[in-house]
Amino acid sequence: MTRLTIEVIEQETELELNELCRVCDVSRELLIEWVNEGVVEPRGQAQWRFPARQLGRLRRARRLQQDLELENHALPVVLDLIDEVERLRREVRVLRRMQD
Amino acid sequence: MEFRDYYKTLGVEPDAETDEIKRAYRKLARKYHPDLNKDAGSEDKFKEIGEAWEVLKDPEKRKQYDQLRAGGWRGGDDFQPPPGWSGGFGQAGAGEGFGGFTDFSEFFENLFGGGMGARRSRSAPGRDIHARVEIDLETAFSGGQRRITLSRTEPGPDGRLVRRQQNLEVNIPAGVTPGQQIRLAGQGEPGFNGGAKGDLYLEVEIQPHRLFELEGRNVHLTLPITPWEAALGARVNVPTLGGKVAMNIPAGASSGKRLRLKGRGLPGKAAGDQVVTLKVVVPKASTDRQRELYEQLAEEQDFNPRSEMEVAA
Repeated sequence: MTRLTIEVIEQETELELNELCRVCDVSRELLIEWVNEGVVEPRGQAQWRFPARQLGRLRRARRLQQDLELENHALPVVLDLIDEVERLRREVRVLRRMQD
Repeated sequence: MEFRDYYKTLGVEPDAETDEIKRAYRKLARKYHPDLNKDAGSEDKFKEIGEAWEVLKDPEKRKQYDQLRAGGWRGGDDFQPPPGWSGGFGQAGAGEGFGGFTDFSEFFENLFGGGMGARRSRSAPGRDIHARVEIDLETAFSGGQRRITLSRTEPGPDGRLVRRQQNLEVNIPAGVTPGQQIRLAGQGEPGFNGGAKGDLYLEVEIQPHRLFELEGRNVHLTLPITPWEAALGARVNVPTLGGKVAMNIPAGASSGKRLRLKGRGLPGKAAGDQVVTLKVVVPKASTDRQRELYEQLAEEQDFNPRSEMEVAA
């Protein structure tokens, strides 16, 4: 079996715009649009840098847009709500364990 | 291979207008999208819906599919493409059409995925592939090998795209969290005319655990304790992902009290903690002696948990 080179993109890493486009499989134009709509928040002024912990959110944004044809401005709302639902579901599971 | 009834999948009549099919698809897609629905089986269901929509939204593909259906094929039939089936409208390779759950059935690939590979005269790098890898919490904690199966469509010797299963052994490092990306250089699609191979990106997903709940790098556990451990304090063994750990329960603890085991969550530059929520479990008084002891306690204790409620004890 071939030997694989594996690289984990650490959560603490910061990515530049072009890198992020590649990792998320999103065009440069779309990503700039997403920054303007608040889907993702870069650091830095002249040169944007993106924390790698946003990658999961961006991949999800891409899936949701492709599969459900969500508009760009709807994405941050949907993503925030999914985060909230996941948090609440976890809380419910923790509380259920208190009852069982 | 199994004939797929795309109309049935979307719950529409075979003569439905595209708008109606679209509404049906949208509704089902919202219901089963794996980012919205975490139930087991939702991803498979979503793929079926997506595949049906991929065919029925496209007038050419739908026409071809309807021709087959007119030939008498029905969902679940053992299907072989008719001789001379040209197939091959456009291309439906991995990563196209869907955001991340692309994995069309053999049926689909045979009907519509058999087009000629894109011909390019200039050298170009291969596309990256994005996939997800589901691991259990133990693997996220200690790392480990995980076998993944990729379904690739690649140009065969005659230039037609063929589907090929490839198994990869991936070393998952310790401390990965949901949504994190793992890059496997050169494991994407092949390049054209000497172009570099693309990369494979795996997005980590972690399965629910019998005991633990994950929140970032922190691990939550509900720990049952006895009333006397709660009242008197105790030293008890607590399961953690790294094995059992002795923990002190302070005297006078109640249900719902949270205790923190520093650094016992997922490892990382800043390791997570294990958060232990206590749950006092009261045993039944099933012998005379046990009843007697409870009665004794009731007499000894001047305790009314309903004192705030302004009702008589």
